[in-house]
Amino acid sequence: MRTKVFLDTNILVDLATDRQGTVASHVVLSMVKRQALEAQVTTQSIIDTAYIARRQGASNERIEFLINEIRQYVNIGYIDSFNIKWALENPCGDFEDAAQYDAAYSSSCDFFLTRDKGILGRTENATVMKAITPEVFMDQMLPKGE
Amino acid sequence: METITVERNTATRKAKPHKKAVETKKAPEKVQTVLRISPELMRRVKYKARQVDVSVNAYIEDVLRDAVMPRIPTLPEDFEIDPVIKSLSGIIPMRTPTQKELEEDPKFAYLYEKYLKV
Repeated sequence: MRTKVFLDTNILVDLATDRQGTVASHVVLSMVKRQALEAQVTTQSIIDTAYIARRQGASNERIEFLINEIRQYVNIGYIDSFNIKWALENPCGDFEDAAQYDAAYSSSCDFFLTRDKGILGRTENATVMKAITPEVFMDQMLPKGE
Repeated sequence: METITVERNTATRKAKPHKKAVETKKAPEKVQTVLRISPELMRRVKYKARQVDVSVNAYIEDVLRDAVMPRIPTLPEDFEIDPVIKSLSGIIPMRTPTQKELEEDPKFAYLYEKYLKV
C-alpha cells in the first residue's frame, strides 16, 4: 500500500508560485505523478488556491491548467460534518487548520504536509499522522547513505 | 488456540490518537492487550524471537510496528522533477497587492496573509 500524504493549502500554493524553497513540494507531486505516493487535498484548498491565483492576476486558462493537473493525480476530498464538529471541539486554535487536519485523518493519510508552524508544533507527538514540511518528507525519501 | 498478552503503545489504540497528541505531550505509555493466535504461530513467534535474542513481547511489538508504519518511497537515482509539474511554477504571480485591493476584498486579504505573504 502506498504512503498517503495530505497536501495542505500552502503546499498547493507552493506548487503554483515561483517563490524560493518550493522544490520539495514539486518533488512530492512528481512522486505522486509517478504513483510512488498517494496524495489527498480538500475542495477547500483547491478553491482557495484558485481564488488566490485569480486575485493575483493569473489567467483563467492557467488556473484551469493548474487545477486540472492537480486533479489528475491527487484525490480531492471534502470537509464533512464530523470534521467540522471535531474542529469546533478541538481546543488547539485555528478552526480551518483543525478541520483540514481532521479531514486528512479521516482520509487515512500517513503524513500531513504543511508549512503552517501552528500545525507542525501541535502535532509534534502525533503517533499516526504527523505533520511535517515537504523538506523533511523529501529528506526521508533520499536514498540511504546520502 | 493459545492466549498471549502483548504490551503496546497506548496512543496506537486510540480512535483518534493525533488528537491525544495535540492535547498532551507526555511520553507514550504501554498497555496490555490480549491476542488469540494458533499454537503453531505462537511457536514460530517464540522461535523467531529467540533467533534475534529478544523477548516475545519485543519481537511482536517490532513486527507490528513495522507492519503499520508508512513506507516512504526512495527517490529513484534518475529522479527529476516532472517537467509538467515544474511548469506549474509561476501560475500564481508573486506580487504584493495594493492596500486598496486588500481592503476591498477581506477574503483575499485573509488568504494572502495566510498563504502567500513572505
